[in-house]
Amino acid sequence: MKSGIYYRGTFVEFDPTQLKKGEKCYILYEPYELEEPSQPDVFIAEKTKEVPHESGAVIHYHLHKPAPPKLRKILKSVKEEVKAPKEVKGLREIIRHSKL
Amino acid sequence: MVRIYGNVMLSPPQDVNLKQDEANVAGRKKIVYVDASSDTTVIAGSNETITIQPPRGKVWKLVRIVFKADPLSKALSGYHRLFLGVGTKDTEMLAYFASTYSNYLYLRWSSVNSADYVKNPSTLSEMIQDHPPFSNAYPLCITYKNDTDADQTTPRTIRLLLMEEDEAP
Repeated sequence: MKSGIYYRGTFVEFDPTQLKKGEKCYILYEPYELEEPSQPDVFIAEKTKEVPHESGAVIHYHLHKPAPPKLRKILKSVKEEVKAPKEVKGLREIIRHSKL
Repeated sequence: MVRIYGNVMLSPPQDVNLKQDEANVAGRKKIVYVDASSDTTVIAGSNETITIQPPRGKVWKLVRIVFKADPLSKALSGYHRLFLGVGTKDTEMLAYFASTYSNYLYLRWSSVNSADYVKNPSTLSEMIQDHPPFSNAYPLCITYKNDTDADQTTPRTIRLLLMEEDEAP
């Protein structure tokens, strides 16, 4: 399962726990041919909450909704993929890092 | 065990120190309780993923879990599902339970109270025994999927009892 954003023709893969609250990213299930009406293989993930735990742990909450058909088509046709390293956080930093 | 400080060789430590060294070698352990329950509405066809990320330098191992999702009273078809995995890139690798829309999806401590469609593995004890530890880099992912035709508006109970150890450098 890939998580990331689609920006200017390129899919940038990154860890969804790095999202800030309210930010969204796209999640693809591999292989892309998996799609069925009841289980679309492209979702939009939105971070709804980030809760610190007394131990120092963090609990991240994401909601994944099926992506609209047009977006699914675009993402399934992606040819170029880039990975963002773990230490790069937030969508804007990821776009800057990827030099897209 | 003999310690060498500079050019001075000391005799083996006393019993108390030896026990401390053994504890250091074995790794410090403690019990951690996490309540990750959620009251967010999960609309039909959507999922909610809860990622539990231990502090850096620690690994957590599952000891007991309680998960409860109510039947979807307004649904007419479909299933609701629970997946557990380690690492944010594959949330389905460890366990998968599912119930029809009109039944509870309920795991409690060491038994699967209700999962009338899929139980994989078939017992919670098996899942807990085989469950690998998870860490800050490879967190625990709990995904609740609503594959029914109605929204899940009631809260999900998620409580975990975990064993914490120091992560190897």
